[in-house]
Amino acid sequence: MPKRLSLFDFRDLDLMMKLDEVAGASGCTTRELAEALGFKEEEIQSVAIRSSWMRRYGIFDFDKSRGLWTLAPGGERVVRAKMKAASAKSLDAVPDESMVDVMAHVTSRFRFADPVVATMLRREFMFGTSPKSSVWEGR
Amino acid sequence: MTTSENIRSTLSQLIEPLRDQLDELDKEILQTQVALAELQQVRRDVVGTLSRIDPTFVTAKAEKKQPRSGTKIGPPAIKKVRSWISVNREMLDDEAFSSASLRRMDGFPHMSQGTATKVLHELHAQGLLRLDHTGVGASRYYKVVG
Repeated sequence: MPKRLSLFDFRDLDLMMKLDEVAGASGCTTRELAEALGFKEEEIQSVAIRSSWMRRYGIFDFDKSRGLWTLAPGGERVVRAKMKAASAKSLDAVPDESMVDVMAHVTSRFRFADPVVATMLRREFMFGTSPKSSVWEGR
Repeated sequence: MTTSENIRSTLSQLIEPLRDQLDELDKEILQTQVALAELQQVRRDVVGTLSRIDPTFVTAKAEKKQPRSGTKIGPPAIKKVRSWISVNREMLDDEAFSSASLRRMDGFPHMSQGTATKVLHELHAQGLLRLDHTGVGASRYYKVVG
């Protein structure tokens, strides 16, 4: 069975950080990205489809003339923020009961934030909660 | 009779029988739904009676409720691996690792391969690791984030 590259297999952040690592500022082709993700020649199509969706969401950019993928400015900002990982420890310290309050802030950000970030918030929630997601394999 | 009257008459001749047929269909659907609901109620009664008097009787629904097989991982296991990763961070920076390769580095003391895989899954879900690529047999290779 060919490998899949849905949100529930690879979350958006995984792909963004991989693209950042493989492509840098100059960009990389679909084939290069597929190889880096461990996909075979015949499985490239799923990488192309997912990358196209990421472009529609404003996370990836595609240079049609050169056939190269790069991170869009919105995606790049998220990757840089993730690399700093400043908020992870503070969030760990928040008790479960207070997470409802945090969630209220998240949903508020979803409504008012930049559309790219809002889309990523929605998709991250899907990845973390959907029964189809690979996150349940650890349970 | 004018042309428009002719057309109206033709349309009404077409519409009337179709409306009747639709009414008939609705009636039949309703009757079938009532019969189905009755059958389902009778089935529930029979299953209820059977499960009370026959301890060996297991329904398909009850089977679904069985807990998943396999080891369950708890916060202590996750914490242990998390702290191991933060201590050995430099060693893990360059190359992506799977649960098997981390076990070889002694990253999962006293843990089975299955538990190790589940712990890495959970750390990925928490955002501490990112999925870097997949290998042969759908093995997953991760990198530490941040």
